[in-house]
Amino acid sequence: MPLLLALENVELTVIKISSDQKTKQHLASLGVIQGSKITLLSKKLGNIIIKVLDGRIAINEDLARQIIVA
Amino acid sequence: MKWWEFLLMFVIIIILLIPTIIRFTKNKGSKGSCSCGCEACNKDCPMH
Amino acid sequence: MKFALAGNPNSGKTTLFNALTGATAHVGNWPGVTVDKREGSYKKLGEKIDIVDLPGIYSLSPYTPEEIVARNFIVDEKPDCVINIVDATNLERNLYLTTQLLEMDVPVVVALNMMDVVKKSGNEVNATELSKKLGVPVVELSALRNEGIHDVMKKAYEVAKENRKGHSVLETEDFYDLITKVEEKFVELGESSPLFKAIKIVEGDEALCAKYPQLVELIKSDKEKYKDNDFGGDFEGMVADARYRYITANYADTIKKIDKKTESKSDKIDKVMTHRIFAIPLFIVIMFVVFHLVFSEDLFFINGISKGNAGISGETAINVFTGMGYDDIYLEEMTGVITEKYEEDFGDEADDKLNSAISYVANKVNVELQAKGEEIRYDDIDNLALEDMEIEDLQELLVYSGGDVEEVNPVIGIPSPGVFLQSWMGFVTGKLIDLGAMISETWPAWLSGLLCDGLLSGLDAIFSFLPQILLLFLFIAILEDSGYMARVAFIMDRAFRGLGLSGKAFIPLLMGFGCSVPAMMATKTLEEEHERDMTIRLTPFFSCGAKAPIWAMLAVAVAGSFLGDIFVFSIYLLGIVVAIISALLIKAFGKVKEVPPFIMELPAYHAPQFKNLMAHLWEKLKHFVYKASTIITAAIVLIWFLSNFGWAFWQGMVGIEDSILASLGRVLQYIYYPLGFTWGSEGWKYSVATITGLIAKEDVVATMATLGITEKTIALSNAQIYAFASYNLFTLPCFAAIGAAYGDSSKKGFWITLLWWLGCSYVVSLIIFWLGYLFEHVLVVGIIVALLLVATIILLFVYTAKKRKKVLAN
Repeated sequence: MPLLLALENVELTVIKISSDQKTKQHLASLGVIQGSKITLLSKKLGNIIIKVLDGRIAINEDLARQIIVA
Repeated sequence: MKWWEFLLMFVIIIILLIPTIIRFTKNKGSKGSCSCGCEACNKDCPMH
Repeated sequence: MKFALAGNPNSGKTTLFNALTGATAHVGNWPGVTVDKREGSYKKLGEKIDIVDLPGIYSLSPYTPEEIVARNFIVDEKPDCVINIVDATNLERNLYLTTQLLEMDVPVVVALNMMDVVKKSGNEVNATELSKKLGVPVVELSALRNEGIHDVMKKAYEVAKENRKGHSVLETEDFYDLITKVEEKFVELGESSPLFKAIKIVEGDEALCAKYPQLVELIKSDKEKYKDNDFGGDFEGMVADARYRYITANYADTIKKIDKKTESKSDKIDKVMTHRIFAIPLFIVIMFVVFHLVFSEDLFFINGISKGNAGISGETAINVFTGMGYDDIYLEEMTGVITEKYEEDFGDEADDKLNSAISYVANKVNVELQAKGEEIRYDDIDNLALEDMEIEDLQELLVYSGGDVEEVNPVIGIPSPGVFLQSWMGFVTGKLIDLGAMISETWPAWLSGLLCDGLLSGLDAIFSFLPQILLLFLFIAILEDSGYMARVAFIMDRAFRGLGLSGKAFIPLLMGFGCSVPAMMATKTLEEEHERDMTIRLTPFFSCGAKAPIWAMLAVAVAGSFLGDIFVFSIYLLGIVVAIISALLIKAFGKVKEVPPFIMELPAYHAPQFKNLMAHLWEKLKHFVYKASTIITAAIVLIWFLSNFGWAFWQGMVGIEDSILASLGRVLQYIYYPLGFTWGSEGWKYSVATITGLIAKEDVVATMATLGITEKTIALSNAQIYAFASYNLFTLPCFAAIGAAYGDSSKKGFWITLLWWLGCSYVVSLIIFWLGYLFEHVLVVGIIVALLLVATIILLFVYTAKKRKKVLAN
């Protein structure tokens, strides 16, 4: 399912990122790539904050739709 | 005003303008990225 | 010797750089790219070592100018050592960059920063283990506490002499043979860092592949084998995945974490700070509190609310808090009491009765003085006003009118820290002016005029506001250093993305609160040219520090000391609101474009370091003095000359109304007539002051002071003050900022920007003045017009949002 619909505070695995190469690499350098484990900290519509490795990343809603997790 | 008073006045004015003149000639020489010559550009450029 | 500092943003790299280079740091330009290059030197190892601070990067891909600059520097300029600053509290992600740096042929030392935070939270990082795994020295560091800095440099100096070759963690991957194949070719070509370049070719790095197409061909068929794997043959993804797998598998030995909670303290704070509904109101409240602490004359509105019962009274107390202004406040209170008394006792006849009372007392005093052989005190009794009389005479008048002198006991609100500092500064500068006047009593008019009425009073005018400005900067620095500003960008993105504005653009704009010049340069981080152009266009609307003296001065002049901080706050708010509306209008005229995705790291909240804050303030202070002694002095001298000499300047000094400046100013005055603030015989002075703002915004206040207008002698109505403030806020910024805008905008964008600044300032000030005028004269009409305006603006927002939704959905 897209990250946008995932449960909060549960460890998720990234399955696929359907964005352009540049965005994918940007996310990769922050720790978000296929196979990595992330946690959704907050997702009250529009307010997406994810915990990846030991950092916090804020992203916009549309991008959260493009990140598929399980 | 007498002529020498004028002269003295202009001399004082030039003296007061010296720092400004120095500032502008120094700027033309060193091509810093800060055109205002302020070292306040020490702040980290936000990069993401 | 030359060392380079490389690391993630927020890893403490800048703090380390500042600690290493101190005053030797200077900013330059990376040739060909538009990213700041910071260089300095470290002298504590005997030999002078140049330190280059590479831009903060998360990886060495070819997608952003920062990354390209960093990797080209290491590969081509071959520094003697690369110090990789790694944030120990975010180890895994930081190591992603480290694995890439290690692939280059250069000595590397890993500086494990923020070890103090790690230790405090009870976690451990085994630096020795880490060093073994990475194959390079690892030194523990706490840049903020100045611990370990010299150790890092010593280690770097040691390894700089070695000839380290690149090494990759990808060795164990099955596609490593492709890398080796390309590496051999690079070695044949005699290229530096062959391993690093080979890996980039295999990844499909655009920059290198364009340069070596033959090598791309070489492995093309080998790559076919991987076409259908999990990554769909995306080698960049495969390599990234391999790196993280390595890090996760191997770093487990080097770190011990006891903290298994998902939510950290920072996360808890963020739940409030980025709350869906409360985040923006909270931001506004925080900004208001800042302005309140800097500009309010009635702290926490205690005096206003309790109607004077909680305030400060007594001569000494008031003198301390207002910088020796007891007499002024007493006079104000006294005239107020007398006037009220007459209104009460005589109603319609109050004016006449008061005038005859004034005449009576004035005459009595004159007679008494003459009897003693002294000069009379009051010349023009018919035109004498209460404010012009001596305090003891007023007391007599009050008694004569049947009032009680004890009743007059001035009370003031508690001044905010900002106002407290400013009144003391004002006291000092006031004394300097008096001293100047005393010394120059016997001097010829031109000399005393130039040095005292011109230079001294002009400089005093702006220096008296210095404490308030420094305090404002301090608060802004605190908000930035604590990490809050990143959240603000995030909140703004969420709120305005639907209107076509990205939160990333807000960061340079927020920097504009300090100075527009670095803010405009910071727009380089934005990817799209049209976004950069627009952000630059809006930057001056985020009122810069140099404009603050204008607001501080007008705040005093705005009727009722109660309103000072509200006035300043409203100006800043006005700037932000007009900026947003401008953005909408600009976007409405262009194509609907997609806003690039917002990805931003939220660094953990931390209390700003005292040392850092003081460093910020010191920078600002130095910059202020530098500006004052150069361009502001120059402007004052120029204005003084032009306002004291006529066109036939060889004839000597003339009165101000006959000066060159007055004649020029009177022409300018007409241009600004519709805006209201140039009415009256003194009107031309305001137009001149505004023009001098082009040299430096501080000049607006300095010029007014040189021409005789101070916060006490300003005679404008509130509507006029507001229009004047608004015009100065939105019009062309100082030449330095205009230059920065020219340097960072596209050709077309720059000219549109200039027109926008001129147009916006005129239109907005026009609206404000006439709206204010209506409020002052025909309140009801004013309210109706204001409501119509608000409705139009809301419609604009709604229209833009709907239009975007429709176009993007297709």
